[in-house]
Amino acid sequence: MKPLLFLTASLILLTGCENTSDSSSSIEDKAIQPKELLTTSELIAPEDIKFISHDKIILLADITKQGGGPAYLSVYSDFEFVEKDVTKENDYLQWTTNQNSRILASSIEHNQIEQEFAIPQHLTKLLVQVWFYDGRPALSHEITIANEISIIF
Amino acid sequence: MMRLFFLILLFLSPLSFSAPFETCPTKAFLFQGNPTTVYGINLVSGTDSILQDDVSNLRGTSSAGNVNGVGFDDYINSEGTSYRYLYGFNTTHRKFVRLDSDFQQTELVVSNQPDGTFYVGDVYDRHYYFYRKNKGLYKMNLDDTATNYLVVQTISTSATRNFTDFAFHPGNGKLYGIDNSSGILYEVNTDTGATTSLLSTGETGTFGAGYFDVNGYFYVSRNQDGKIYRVDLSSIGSEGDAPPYTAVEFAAGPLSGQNDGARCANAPLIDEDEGTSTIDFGDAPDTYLTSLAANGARHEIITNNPFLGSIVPDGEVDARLGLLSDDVNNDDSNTDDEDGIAFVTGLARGLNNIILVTASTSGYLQAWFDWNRDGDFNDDNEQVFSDQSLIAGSNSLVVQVPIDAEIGASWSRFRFGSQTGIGFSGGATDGEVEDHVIEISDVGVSYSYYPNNGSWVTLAYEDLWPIEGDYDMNDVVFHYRTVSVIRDNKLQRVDIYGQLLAIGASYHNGFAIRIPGVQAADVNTSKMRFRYTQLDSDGNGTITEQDNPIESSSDELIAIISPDVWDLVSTSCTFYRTDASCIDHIQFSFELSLPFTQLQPSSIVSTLYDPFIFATENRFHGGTFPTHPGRELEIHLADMSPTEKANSTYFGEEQDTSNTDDDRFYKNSNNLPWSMEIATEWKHPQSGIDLLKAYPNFENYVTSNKANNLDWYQVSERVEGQIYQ
Repeated sequence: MKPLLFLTASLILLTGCENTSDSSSSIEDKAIQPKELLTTSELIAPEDIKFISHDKIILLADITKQGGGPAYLSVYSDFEFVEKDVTKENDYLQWTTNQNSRILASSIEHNQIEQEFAIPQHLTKLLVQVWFYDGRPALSHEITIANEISIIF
Repeated sequence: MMRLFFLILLFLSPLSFSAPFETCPTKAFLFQGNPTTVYGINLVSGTDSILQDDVSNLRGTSSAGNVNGVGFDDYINSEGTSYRYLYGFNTTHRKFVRLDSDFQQTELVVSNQPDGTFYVGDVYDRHYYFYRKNKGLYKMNLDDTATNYLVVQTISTSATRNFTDFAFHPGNGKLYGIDNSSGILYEVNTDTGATTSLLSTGETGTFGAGYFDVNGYFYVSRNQDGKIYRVDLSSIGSEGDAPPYTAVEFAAGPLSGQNDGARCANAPLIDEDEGTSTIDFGDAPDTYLTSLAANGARHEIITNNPFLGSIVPDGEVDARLGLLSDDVNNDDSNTDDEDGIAFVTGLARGLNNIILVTASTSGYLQAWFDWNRDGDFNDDNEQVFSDQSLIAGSNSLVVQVPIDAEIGASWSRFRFGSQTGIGFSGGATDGEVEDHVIEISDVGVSYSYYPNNGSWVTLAYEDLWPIEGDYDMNDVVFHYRTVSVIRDNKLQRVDIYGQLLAIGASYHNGFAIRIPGVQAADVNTSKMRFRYTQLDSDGNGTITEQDNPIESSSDELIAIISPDVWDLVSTSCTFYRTDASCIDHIQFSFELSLPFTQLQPSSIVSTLYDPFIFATENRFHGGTFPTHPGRELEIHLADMSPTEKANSTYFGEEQDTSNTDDDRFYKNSNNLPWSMEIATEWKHPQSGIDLLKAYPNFENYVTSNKANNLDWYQVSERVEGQIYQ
C-alpha cells in the first residue's frame, strides 16, 4: 500500500489545484518560522486526550426545607450580584441573570431533582435559582464547579 | 448712489438669505395653524417636533398667515447647486410662496393666478400642482430659466374629488389622493385632470397630509385623530398587482384641525446610516410583522426613553431578522439590548408561570405569545398583557399558558412605553420592543442547553483527512448549540442549531449530525422541524422550511444538514470568512428539531451528539482516493466512531491511525485530531495560519493533557492579527 500512498501523495501535489485549501501556505509558514516556535503538527498529544472542551457535572438540588415543589430550577453561567436599588420600590432581586446564559431548566415537582449536564470547561462558577409558582421568594445559590454538586436550600 | 442703494436692498431682501435644503430629509413636514407652525414628523413612529414656529411675516403684510398645499422640490442642477425648497399657498394672504430651509417664506410673483384659496398641492418634475374641489387642477413651472416660469396653467376645471392633500409617487411619477368622503384612492391624470378609482382604502376622514417615501408607500395623516395610515403602492402597475389598496394603521401622529403635509419623496423613511437611526425594531421572523415593509413593531428612541431591561435600545435602519438580529448576531459591534424579560419558571402548559419584566421607568406593557406556533400573534388568546402598568425596576407578572398550547419553540413579543392600546405591529412614539424565543413545555420536562440557550460552541474541521492538514482549523467551521429535552430521565427530543462560520478549503464537504444510538425510524417526522435561515441582499435572514433531512438509506439517525456547504453561501473571496482582507457576514444558519416517537434511554443523552463533515458526492477530494469518495468519506470529532456509511478501508491511510478494534478514530500518530469542539464563539485562524500561532497556549493545554490553560481559546489568549475577526 505504501507505494500507492506515495503515488497518491504525489497526485495530490499535482492535482492540488482543485483544493487550494491551505496546504501550500502552511508549508511556507513552517519554513519561515523560528525553530523554537512549535507548529501544531509537531505537537505530541497524550493518547487519551479528548479534543472537546466541555465537562459534565451532576447537580442535586433539594428544596424539602422550603416546602418542596412545584418549582422551577434554572442554572445560569452569566450572572451578577447587585445591590438593591432603593430608588426602585420593586427592585427586590439581588441577582441579575443573563437569560441567554441558561444551561439547565427543569421543573421540580416534589422535593428534589438530580440532573447531569455539560458545561464549557473554562467556567468556574454557576448560579442556581429556584422559583416557586405560588409566590414564595426565589432562591439563589452561587456554586463553584465540581464534578458533583449538592445544594440543600 | 441709487444703484448702490438697490444693491443693498437686494442683499437684505429675504430672497438673498433664503438657503435651500441641503439634503432630502427623511422626516415629513406638517404645516399647521395660523400663524403656521412647521412640525417634523417621523412617519415611522409618529413622533413630532417643532421645526419652526415663526415662519416670518410675508413681505408687505403684517402676519405670517397659514401656509397650505405644500410640496417639496427635490432638485439639484447639473452643477450640483441645490434648489431644494418647499412650495405652497398662503391661504391668509392668498399668495403662492416658497419656503427655505429655515421655513422663511418668500412670495412668488405668479402669472394667471386663479381666484380662490388652495389647500392641496405637491411638486413633481419642477412643477407645482395645486387643486381645489369644484374649481380645478393647475400647475406652474418652478424652473426660473423656463419661459413660462411661475405661469399658472389650467389642467382641468372639473374637480369633483374631495381631496385635502395629494402626493406624487416617486417611482412612476403619478399623482394619488384619497377622497375623504368615500375613502377611495384615486390616480390623477396630470395632463387631463381625470381621476381613476383604485377602490376603497377602507378608511375615511380628513386626510389633510399625504406623503410618499422612496419605496412607493403612500402615507396619509388623518386630522381627526392624528393616525398615520400607509397604503402600499410599491408595486403598483406591476404584473399581478391590483386594487384595492388597503390603508393600514401605521403610527399615531399629532392630531389637528387644519394641516397639510409635504415630504421629499426620494428619501427613505429612516436615515440609511445605521448610527443615526432612532428606531428600535423587534427580532422575530417577519411572519410576526417585524420589518418596516411589514409595518412591524417599532419604537422611537428618545431622551429618557422608557425601555426594558438595563440596556438602552440601539437604533436600527430596519428590523434585523435572523442572522443579523440582536439575539443572533455575533459581531463585536452588535448591541444585544434584549435584556428586559426573564422566563424564570419556563412556560409550562396549564400553570401560572412567572415572568420578570424589568422596566427603566413606569409605563405600559403589551405582550403576545404565539401559543399555537402558527407564526403570528393574531389568535384570540395570544395577547397576554394589555396596557399592563409597570413600575420602574423588576415586575413579577403571571402568565397562564393555555392547556392546549402547542409544545415546542415559539415566539413572544413585548412592547413597553408611555402609550396604551398599541398592537403587535405598527409604530410607537417611545419605548422598546423585545421579541423573545419561548419554549412551551409540559410539567416534568427539563432542558439541558449546551453551551447555553443563547450562545454557541465552535466546531472546527480540517478536511484533508486522511492526510494531515495544515492546522489552521478553518476548512469547515460551524457554530453549534444543542438542546436535550428530557422527561422522566429519558430523552424526548433533541434540538440542534448551527451557523456556518467559515469555509477555508476548496474541497466540497457536506455537514451532518448523527444521534448515536437512535434509529432513523424513531423520529416523529410529523412534528420534526428543519429550517434554514439565509442572509438576503437586504441583510435580513430569510427563513425557509426544508425537506426531511434524515438520511433514508441509513438505519441510524443521521440528519444531513447540507450535502455541500459551499451551496449555502455566496462570496467573492477565494474562501468564505478566512481571509482578513475579504470580509463576509455570516450567511447561513439552521434549526433542527428531532422529536422522538417514544422516549429514548438516558444513555442516549449527549452534549454534542455527533456532528461530522463528509465529502460531497461526485467531487474530487484528494488523490488518496481512486474515485470520488462522496458520502463514504467522513470526518468526525476525534474518537467518534464513523457511521454505517463510512468506508472503513480509508482508515489507517496516510497520516490517519484510526483503528476500529481499538475504538480509535480520526487521530494521527501524534494523537492529533482533524476536528475539535471549542466551547465558545471562537475566532478561527486566518487561512494558512497555524493554530499555535493564533493560540499559543494550545500547546501547553495539549501537552499537559488539559491540566493547564483550559481557557486557551478565549479572547485574552489569542494573538490578534492571526485570527479572522
